[in-house]
Amino acid sequence: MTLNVTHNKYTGKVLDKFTSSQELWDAFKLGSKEAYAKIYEEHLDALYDYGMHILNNPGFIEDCIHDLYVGLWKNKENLGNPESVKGYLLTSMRRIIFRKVKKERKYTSLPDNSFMPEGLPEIGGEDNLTKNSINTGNQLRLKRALTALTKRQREAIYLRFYHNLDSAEVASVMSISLEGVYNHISKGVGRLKDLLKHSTVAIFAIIHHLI
Amino acid sequence: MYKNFDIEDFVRDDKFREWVLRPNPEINYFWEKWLLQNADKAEIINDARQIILATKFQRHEISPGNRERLWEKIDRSNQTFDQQTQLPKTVNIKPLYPSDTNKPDRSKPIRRIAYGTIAAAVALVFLIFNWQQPKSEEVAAKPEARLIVKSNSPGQKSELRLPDGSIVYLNAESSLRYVEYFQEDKRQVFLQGEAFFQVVKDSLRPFTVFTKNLATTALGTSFNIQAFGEKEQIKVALITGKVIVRDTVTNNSLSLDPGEGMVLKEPAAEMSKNNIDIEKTLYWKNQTIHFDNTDFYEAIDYLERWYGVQFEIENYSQKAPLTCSGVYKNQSLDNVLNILGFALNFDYEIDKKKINIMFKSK
Repeated sequence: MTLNVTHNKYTGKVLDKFTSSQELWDAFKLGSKEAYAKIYEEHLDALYDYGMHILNNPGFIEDCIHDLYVGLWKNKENLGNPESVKGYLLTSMRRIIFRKVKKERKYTSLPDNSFMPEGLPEIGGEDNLTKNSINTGNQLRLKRALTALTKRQREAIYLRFYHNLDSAEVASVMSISLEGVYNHISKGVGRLKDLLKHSTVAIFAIIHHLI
Repeated sequence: MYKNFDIEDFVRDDKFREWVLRPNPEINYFWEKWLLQNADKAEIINDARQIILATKFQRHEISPGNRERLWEKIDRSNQTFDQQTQLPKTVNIKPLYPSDTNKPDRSKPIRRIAYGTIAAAVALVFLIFNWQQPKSEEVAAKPEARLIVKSNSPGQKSELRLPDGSIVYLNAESSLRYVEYFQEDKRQVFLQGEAFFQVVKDSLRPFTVFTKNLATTALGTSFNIQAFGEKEQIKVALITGKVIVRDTVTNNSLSLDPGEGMVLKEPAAEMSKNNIDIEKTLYWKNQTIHFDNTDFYEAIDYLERWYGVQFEIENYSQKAPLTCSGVYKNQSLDNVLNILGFALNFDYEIDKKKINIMFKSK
């Protein structure tokens, strides 16, 4: 995400002087509100999306994001230099959600249907899949496939493929071992491959067409 | 490029994703040409396409209005915090121990306690404080001496020596702040979390532990303070000696004798005295976990702090709240969970710092 107008509206200042994310982080740790606002703006979407996947309750997730950022500001002097700010924030986000769920005892236990594919309920509704491929039956199969995975497999895949974290970052966000991440992802991907075996037609059709 | 890619590499590759998710003539041309030259990769390519299409997760977007409101709320909270922390970064005082100024760090955790320097009176105060700043009027705010902050993360305990020689055992997830040198007429520290103090006797310089709205003052004594969670109550328990506990909001105060405790259920609530069990109060310091009809979630919070781990609870659907009881001295988390799991009927998995508890359906 590039920053210009969006960030200026919070601080009224020009922010593009921070060239790298490390500089931005350092500036924030030294107390720069501009850098802090930029970090907020840059990662809000990812944090919100991730949070809502864990627990679909907008007010609750916004509260968690509030706590996360206020915590950052309070502890700015004592924060380390995470290799990936995004990974660090997602890790904190997850911890805060679980902590708050426990504290408020609002939910006896987290839902099992998190990390679900888009548009599952209405079948074949909006068609933003590729033009040159697949019929609705196939689309449905694609969407259904994900639901056959375990929650943890879906979460690992979500973080790795959707947020493009590397395996070590996924391990730290989910606070599990690296082996655990490999396991979840390879099992999850393997299961998807099995479930999708029947839809291999599409690509061969393309190749055939090309030849 | 791409020749040695496996499925996962393709799935994560931006250019490949673009082809699958947002095809356009240019990108189509690139990949179709590539496929023609690498027909043996067709299967991998197909699998990768399928995986990308199958892992299109639902998207959740915050509305622009909420985005703005959330930022404003965060900003307000930060401003409040900034105002509160116009606290003594520094205090202008003459060092009491001028010869010690060169010593690099006299507050470093120490192994042994110099018992000779500690007052004969042994008192123990057990407090649960809120994790908040003390009111600023309580604090001498003049420039100069360095503020020292000692913090423990979950699972970590430490032992410190204060500038006056007093000893502090600091529990996990706790922090203590104090100035490099105490003032001539008072000794003040600020606590979040739990600590046990053995205070060097000095009748000219009362020793006070501050939290959000309690000030606990002793002359020469030893005491233990616990202050976890914003909503949790505050408890003070004295083993021997004498302390005065003052609510800095209402200015109510209470003095405690050995074996007495005090509970403050919420800020500015009435202070009530009770009798305490000295042994139980000191369990934490002796590597012992103790649950006595403790609410399950409280017990889980405690174990998180104690072992520095995180729990996730699945299928907790008890009609009546579960409670835990038991004393675990020097036990591994695995052992504790084994016993609890048997009593409460749950399975658990430990993966590094993450523990998953799954209640069995009956």
